[in-house]
Amino acid sequence: MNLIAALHRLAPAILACLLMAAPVAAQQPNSVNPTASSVKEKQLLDALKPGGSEILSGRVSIPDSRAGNLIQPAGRDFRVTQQDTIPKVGAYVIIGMIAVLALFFMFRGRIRIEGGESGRTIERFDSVGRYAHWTAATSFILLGLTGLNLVFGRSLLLPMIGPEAFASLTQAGKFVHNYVSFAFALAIALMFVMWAKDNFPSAIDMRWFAQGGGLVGSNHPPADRFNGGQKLIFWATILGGFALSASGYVLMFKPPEIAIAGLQLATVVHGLVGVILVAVIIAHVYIGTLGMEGAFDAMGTGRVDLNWAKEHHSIWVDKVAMKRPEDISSARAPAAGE
Amino acid sequence: MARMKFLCDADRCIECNACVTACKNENDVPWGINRRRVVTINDGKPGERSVSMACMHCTDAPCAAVCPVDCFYTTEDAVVLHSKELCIGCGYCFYACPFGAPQYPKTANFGSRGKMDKCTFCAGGPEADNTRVEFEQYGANRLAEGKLPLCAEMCSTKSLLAGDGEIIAQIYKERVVKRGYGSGAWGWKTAYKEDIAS
Amino acid sequence: MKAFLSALLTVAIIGFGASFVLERFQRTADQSYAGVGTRVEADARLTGTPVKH
Repeated sequence: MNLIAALHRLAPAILACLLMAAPVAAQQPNSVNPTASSVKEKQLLDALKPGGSEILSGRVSIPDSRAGNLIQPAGRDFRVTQQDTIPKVGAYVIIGMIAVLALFFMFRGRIRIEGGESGRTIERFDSVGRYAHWTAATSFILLGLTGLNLVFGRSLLLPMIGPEAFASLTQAGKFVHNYVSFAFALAIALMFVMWAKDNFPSAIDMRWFAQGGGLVGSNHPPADRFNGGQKLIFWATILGGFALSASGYVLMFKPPEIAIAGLQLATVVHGLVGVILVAVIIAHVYIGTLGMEGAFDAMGTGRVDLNWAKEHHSIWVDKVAMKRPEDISSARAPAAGE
Repeated sequence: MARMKFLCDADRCIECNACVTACKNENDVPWGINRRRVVTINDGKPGERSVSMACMHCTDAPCAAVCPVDCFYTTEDAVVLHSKELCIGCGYCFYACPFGAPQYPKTANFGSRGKMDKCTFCAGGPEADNTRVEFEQYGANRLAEGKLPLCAEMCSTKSLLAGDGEIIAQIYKERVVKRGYGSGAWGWKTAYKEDIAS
Repeated sequence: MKAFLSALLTVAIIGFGASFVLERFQRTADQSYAGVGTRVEADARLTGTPVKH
């Protein structure tokens, strides 16, 4: 019934079509270009800004709307940064930093406590502070090694251990990188909350930098709890850690609001900030261990020698002596260990 | 050896999605993974065109360049394939691919997105040809059987062409000359750094 | 030493914890894009049912 009714309704239309089709076909010249108004790939591509992040996209009938991206020329730029820029920048800053530190060590040697060890100690970091520091440190070492493996592994490690072993290692590294990141982000937040108040720049820092921070020459410019260099390390870690966490979690969870250009940007930011922060932390590790006598105790036992503190943080020592004299151990008392 | 390419004649594509269906069926691809898709540009406007797009098997492929574990390889037929044994599912190839070809079996977080999957030009993978292992991981290997990709083989309007680049370019050129128009070989400039004059 | 060891422990616990939590909420592509008439396989792999050769 329905079919017949439909045919009845369509019959006039079909008839009209048949009547009209014949003369139209006869009239149409051969030179008509039915694509005169059609979209051409070249025009669409030319309309995109060179080096921009625009995408040729259209409608798709599958549920993943991002599949509607037809061509994204920006992928080529991403390829260049990923394959070229990040490894190059990484190699320059990391090898450069190690070279600078090696030269510094050759000419300046280990920075000694000039007055020698006094035997008296002063509390520099409480256990919560050291806990936050070592959480950030251990997670950063894991994240840094697995991250560097993604940047340099293919050219350095892969030829040495072969594709299967390297793929397994990198796969494991990816899991470590993803899941350990949460500990790093928490530690960064904790350190920010605890130490930000002591790390705001001040006029004393300007004088500290003007005198070369005591790194060159033998004078020790005065400093509060943290000197200018330490403040730089602190903010590099906090801001770098924040940038790494933000870009990393964008890549990990891929929020649907962020288009592919955002993901490419996040990858590049993550890679560049990552290699730069690795270089910064190498310098931090050097000055905290090999580079300066007495510095490691600050994060080791939490108590530093009073002479070290007086030389490097004179203002801070005066403040502690005023406000909390109990934090300074009396003469020749055994250093309070863990 | 031939240099295999895809060419979608957008002036012939009628967005029937038969290529998509053929691909899904031939390679047993699950829901949510789209090795091939049909995108309609200027939908509903004058000059609307549909293009069937998949991995274009680029010359000097960007996916292979950015892969941190170097899991991609190019066959003698210039088909870009990858090893799922080596793939770590990092997603870099997806960011670099101009055509959105790489697909991942899991979506909620990238921690374990699983092994990347993409169009293989119906050429399977690194496993032995036409074994069950190869089929389950990579899909059909029609090239080893002397056949071309099924999407193009069963295209009802012969819009989608697959095969040796020079031959399909010749077919397309003849079409353009005969009918007097052509909106170009979509993706060729990006994938092969060449274009077919139209 | 105590601070360092508890830091190590924290990193390990958070690492494993995060992996369990995130894997719990992991979704397969077919579940993510499920619509009317979608056949969601319980154990979705890249390819659906094994075929005989």
